[in-house]
Amino acid sequence: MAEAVSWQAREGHLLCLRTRSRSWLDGVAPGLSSLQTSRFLRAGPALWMRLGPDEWWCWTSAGAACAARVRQSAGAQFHALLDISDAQQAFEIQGAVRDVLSQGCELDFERLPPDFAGRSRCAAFTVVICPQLGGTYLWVEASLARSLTQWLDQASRLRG
Amino acid sequence: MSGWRLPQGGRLINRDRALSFRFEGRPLQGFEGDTLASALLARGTAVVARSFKYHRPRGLVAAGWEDPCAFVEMQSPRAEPSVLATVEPLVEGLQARGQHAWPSLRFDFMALADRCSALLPAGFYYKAFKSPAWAWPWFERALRHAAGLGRLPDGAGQSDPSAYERRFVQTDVLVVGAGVAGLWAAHALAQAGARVILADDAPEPGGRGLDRPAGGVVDAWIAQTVASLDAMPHVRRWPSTQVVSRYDHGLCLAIDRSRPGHERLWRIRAPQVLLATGQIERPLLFAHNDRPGIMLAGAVTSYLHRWGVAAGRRMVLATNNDMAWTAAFEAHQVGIEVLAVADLRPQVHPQLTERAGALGLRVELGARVVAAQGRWALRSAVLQLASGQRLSVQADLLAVSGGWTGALALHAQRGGRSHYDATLHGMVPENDDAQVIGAARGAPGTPAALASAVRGAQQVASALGLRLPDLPVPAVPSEPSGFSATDLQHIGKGRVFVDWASDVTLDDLRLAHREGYESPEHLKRYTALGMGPDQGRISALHGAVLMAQLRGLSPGDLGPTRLRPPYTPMPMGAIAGADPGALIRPVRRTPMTDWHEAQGAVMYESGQNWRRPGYYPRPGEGLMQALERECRACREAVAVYDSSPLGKFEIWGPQAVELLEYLYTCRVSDLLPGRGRYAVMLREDGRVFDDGTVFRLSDQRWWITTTSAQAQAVHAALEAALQVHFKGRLEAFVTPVTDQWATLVVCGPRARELLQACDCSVGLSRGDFPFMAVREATLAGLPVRLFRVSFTGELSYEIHLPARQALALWVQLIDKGQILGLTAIGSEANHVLRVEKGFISVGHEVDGCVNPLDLGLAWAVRMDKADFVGKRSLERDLQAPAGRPALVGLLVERGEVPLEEGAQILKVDLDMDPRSALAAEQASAGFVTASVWSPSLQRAVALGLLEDGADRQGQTVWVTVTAPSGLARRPARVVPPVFVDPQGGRMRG
Repeated sequence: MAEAVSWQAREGHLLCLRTRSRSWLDGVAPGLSSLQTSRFLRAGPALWMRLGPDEWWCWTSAGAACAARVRQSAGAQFHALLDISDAQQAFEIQGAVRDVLSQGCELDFERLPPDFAGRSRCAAFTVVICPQLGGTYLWVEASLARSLTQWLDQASRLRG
Repeated sequence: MSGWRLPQGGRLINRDRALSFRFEGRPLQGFEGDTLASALLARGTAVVARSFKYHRPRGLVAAGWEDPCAFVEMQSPRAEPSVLATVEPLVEGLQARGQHAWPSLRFDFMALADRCSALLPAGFYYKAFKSPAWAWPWFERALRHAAGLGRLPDGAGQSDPSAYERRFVQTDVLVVGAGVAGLWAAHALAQAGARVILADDAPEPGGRGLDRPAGGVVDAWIAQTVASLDAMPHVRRWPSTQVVSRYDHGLCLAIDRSRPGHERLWRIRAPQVLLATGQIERPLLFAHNDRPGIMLAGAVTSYLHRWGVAAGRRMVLATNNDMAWTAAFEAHQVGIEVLAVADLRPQVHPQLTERAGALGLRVELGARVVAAQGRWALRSAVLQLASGQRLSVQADLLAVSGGWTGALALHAQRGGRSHYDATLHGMVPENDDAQVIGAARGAPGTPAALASAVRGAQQVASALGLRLPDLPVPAVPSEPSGFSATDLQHIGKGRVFVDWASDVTLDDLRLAHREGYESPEHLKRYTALGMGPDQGRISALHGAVLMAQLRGLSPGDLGPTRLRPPYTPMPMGAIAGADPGALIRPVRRTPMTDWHEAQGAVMYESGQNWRRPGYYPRPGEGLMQALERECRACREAVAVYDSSPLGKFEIWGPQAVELLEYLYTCRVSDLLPGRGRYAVMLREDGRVFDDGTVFRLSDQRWWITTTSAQAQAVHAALEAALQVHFKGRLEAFVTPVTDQWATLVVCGPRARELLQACDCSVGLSRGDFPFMAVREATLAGLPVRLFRVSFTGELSYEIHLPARQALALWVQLIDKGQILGLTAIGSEANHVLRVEKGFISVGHEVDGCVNPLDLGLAWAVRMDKADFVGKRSLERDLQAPAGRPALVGLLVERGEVPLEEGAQILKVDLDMDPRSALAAEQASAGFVTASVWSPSLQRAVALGLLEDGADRQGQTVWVTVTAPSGLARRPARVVPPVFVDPQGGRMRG
């Protein structure tokens, strides 16, 4: 019998940090300044994902503290820090995730580095995907969240 | 052809499971594992379809995708035309009928075309039917009825019972073809550690080995290799899966048909691809070579060994190569009477003649078939012997073989080059491309095929940085494999078919040559050679070689036309995959969409496919009544509108102002924190791209809004400006926040009262909070960003707040607003209100052709700025303003219905004679961009773009209207485009 697939919406704070000067980032989370694009690192309750050359997302249960830490570390360094918790809906998917996502996502899950977190496309959705957090985490624009669950529902019926 | 099922044998069938099916209404039986073709052949069915053009009866020619004739219309389990019987798996209850026949396969009215074939040469439709001109509609109807490949299913909207899906997969190596070469290469590479996908269109591995008697040396090796492959977790072995397309960057598409009724499209990313796609047999050219009962020699052995079916009882073999002799030997062994083996060559490998002699077969060297007789089934084949004598042989099966061509479609799709090999008389890939292996390379015989597999696998392993293990190559004895060329000489009288799928004859090729269509590309377009559903798999090389001969060139001077993807037809369902219906373009929902639906709103999808309310009909109300009520509420009391789809961006940075000055036509640098401005963006050509607002939240933080539809395009433009124009040097970041912030618009003369009732934390008086200002505030205890902007012309507040809190505030507003006469309004009312106010809308007035001056927005353009996108083009427009369209209002007489949106404004004066005006001056002077019934004015009003409209105020123009009699027109008066509150006192109040 095929492995079951399930998904759940997850709540948390999501911050978007933009900056070009990275030297101060280690003050936010050790190793953050050298984090490669499409990789993540954990720092306490925060999951930092580098999504572009000057873009980081922080998924955390302590948004205000994290934002304060960023502001403190940045000092006078130019940066932009926005709370986008309401802009994105997080999902945690458990089970035969690859089987389901392979119907819409072109990522090579077998060869992804263990600390992968990056933007991709899943069917008609632009998503941020982080497959190695116990379950697979996936962020999608909040307005598309219900459509994505419909797609997941359909894809899980067709798998195998 | 009188085929029959052998009492034993058939690698692919399960004789324990009989399946019932119907063909042309006739009940028949086959076995599990049969194709429709093998089951029909086993029941002695000679004719399975008619030909496309001449409607000649056609039987089975091949046993796979290369068959050019066996197209049937499936009736059950699915309705689908142009299904190839040779690859369609037999299932219980299958029903089908022969294609290109009406009313039936036996009695086909269109078979008259065959009798009139002399009048219907290639390209006849370019030359005929030119006169009388009045008859063309009749000709066209007749031609359309005759043309086409099969009939679409009856009943529009009939659902397709097949299941489709689409999947992505990645691998290191894709090996296409599971013959001995493909199997060896896949096994070796898998042993080396590569992830391997091995795809083959047959249900079992073995390639051409499946066409040989079971139990040989190769069979044992195949079984062992397959078992080893199946035991490796990094190997995917896909039977019944055909790789149909190959593109750049290692992308291949494959159709998995391993489960009947379920088709899966694989999108494979493979940095390395090995093509072990085998060869395709060519027919011979002679008069009436398309008769039912004439079959490729390789297909005869395929039907024998794969499905245990003998294709006839009395057989003649005609060939020009050694390999085809196997068909005669093996047919003889299963009890088919082999009457003659005719080989074009005067000498053949002695092994062949010795074996034929041992079996007692009559061999005629230097002999050729010159004619075939029998309309519904072969009766006889006429041979011309080496002595010149003619010999008529009574046979029901004529096995033919004109040589073999590498199946190089996937090679060609990636730009792989091929050339004509004079020894093999076929196309072979260029020497430097070792990714084509096995018979597809032209390797003669199994040992040579295996040798090429070793070379190909070594090259792939090297590219992947792997070391190939020392694997043994199965010891397979070599077999005779000589060829001779196909030629035009000594062909008897009668029609010789070169392309059976498109009914292209040798005479058609000669005609094309006489008329100058000599290149393979022109030949294809003129005669349709290679254009049929088989894409010329068995005919394209023949066509090119024959044209070369007609032109006095050597055979290799003209190659066949390029083979483009897909190699075989792909169902549209598989392309769409699992994203049917709404999921093809997913719907976006605002935080209030559930509420709107619960209230019974009529919902629309608009902008970036946002699901938003059009209007909220109450019981007994239609659109117009609901609109009237909603608009009146906004003009007379207060209304609330879900404007969450509005595009929103935050722009941060000390140099953000430079970015905005560059992108907007207005000045923004003079905005103080807390203030904003209406702003227009242009394209480089000076045409309006989008409009919205720009607000300064603080010294270095900005907030801009865009139209819903253009939000993504504006984001792209902002990033392009930052990264390309400013080369990444600006200290500014753009963050899209459309989904982060929901937008609730409270509008109407009592809007201020409603906000006060919701405990707004900031002063709302005109002095405290003027028009085009922004305030951070709390409302009903929730933090919000309040903007004073208006799209309705009324006192209006845009409330932006984090999306997860929006529904709570919306419900509070609805609740507190009841006492003030609040009504929720939809996009229909919003549209009416903005037309009354003369505000533009992207998609209506902004049609991609207008500049801001045309729209009366000169006040929003600062030509004294150093630069902005589109400025240079706008300066050019300013130098030649005459003839530009201008936004105008249009009024019809009171009591008349609204003009039609999109109606043309005619280039005539009212006092012109109507008949001459319509006849001579139908040129357009503009069009109606938006037209509504105005509840405020109690009359129909419209906006339009009218050539030199500013100078035509007060004039009456003619506007087209659709009428049962055709084009009609009605008058409208040109007026200023603002119908309500021209001074703007209400929205500024």
